[in-house]
Amino acid sequence: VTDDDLVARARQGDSDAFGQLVDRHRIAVYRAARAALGSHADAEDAAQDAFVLAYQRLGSFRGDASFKTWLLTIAWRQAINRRRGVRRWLQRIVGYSGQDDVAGDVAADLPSPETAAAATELRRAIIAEIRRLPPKLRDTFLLAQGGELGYDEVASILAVPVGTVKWRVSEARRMVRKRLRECGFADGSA
Amino acid sequence: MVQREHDDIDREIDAAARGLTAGEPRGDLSARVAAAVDRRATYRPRPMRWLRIAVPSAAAISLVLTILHVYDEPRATVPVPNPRSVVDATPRGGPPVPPSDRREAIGARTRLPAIGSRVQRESEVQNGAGLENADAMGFSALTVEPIQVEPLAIENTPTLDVIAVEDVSVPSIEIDQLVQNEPAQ
Repeated sequence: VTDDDLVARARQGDSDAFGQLVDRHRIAVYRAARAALGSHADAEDAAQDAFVLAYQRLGSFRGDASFKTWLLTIAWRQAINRRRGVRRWLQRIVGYSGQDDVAGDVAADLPSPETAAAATELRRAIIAEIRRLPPKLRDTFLLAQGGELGYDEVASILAVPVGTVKWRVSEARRMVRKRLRECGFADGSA
Repeated sequence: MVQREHDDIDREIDAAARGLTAGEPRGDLSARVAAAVDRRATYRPRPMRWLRIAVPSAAAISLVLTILHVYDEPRATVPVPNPRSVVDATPRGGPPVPPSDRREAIGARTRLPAIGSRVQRESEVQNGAGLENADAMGFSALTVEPIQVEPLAIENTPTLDVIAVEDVSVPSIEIDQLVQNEPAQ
């Protein structure tokens, strides 16, 4: 069953069909929201809001793009609106730490404690530098690296050409590399 | 070699980026979405709901304004004489009254400070009354010496005989003349 079939059934009031659409795209929507918001809880809330909004706007889906792209565009806007909210602004002012710490997961798969510690330190530095990137570069980079979206889908969500997406990804990597070198992490020090 | 190192660090950067967006929502997301959709579908907007907030708010605001107005009114009706009115209140024909005495005479109070500095009296200077807080102000090394102030003498002032009050006779004006002098309409 294709997405378009499920959309047609959902438009006629079939809630199970829309439930299947949610199950199909929930990870992509969640990861897009998390790329914008950083924290797991905020990403879950934004994903839920995005699906509810998509259900209410099913009538406006014309099929010009795929349902997944249309849905992710809604999710991205929801996440960006949430990011601009007063609560997050206040959190940032008083010391925002909403981004979940993922560096701790790295050490588990590494061979020795020394190597694990060095890799963890490098990973923390990389994460810090990714968060310091300008929003346009960071958003594009995280969307593209999330593993769920191709460059063309990222371009559709952000409403920019595919070439711009590629340049932003490359520029984000270059800036992170440069800052890591300035912080004393030589290339290949992992 | 350098390219390989670049690739290594790029792999690390990409892995960190994937880690930042990793994870999955809870499995009951579709159920929560369905519940949220149902809630919104059964939501009935109440068009007059705003009245529940607006009416008490307006009543509270008007009460506060009324209280403020009642308490503020007596203070607002206290007349504050301006300098022109003080001058006008000076009795005509009598001797001129010094400005400071004038103010005390009519009991007027103004918020403006008196122009010019107050000169200490001779007794205050001699007794050091004006320097009671000298220690606190850091002037403890200063000593107060008595000053002999001679009374000022005013010379070459015209005698009061020069000033005389003359009777001024004002011719009475007839009502007819007033009527004639009115401008024609």
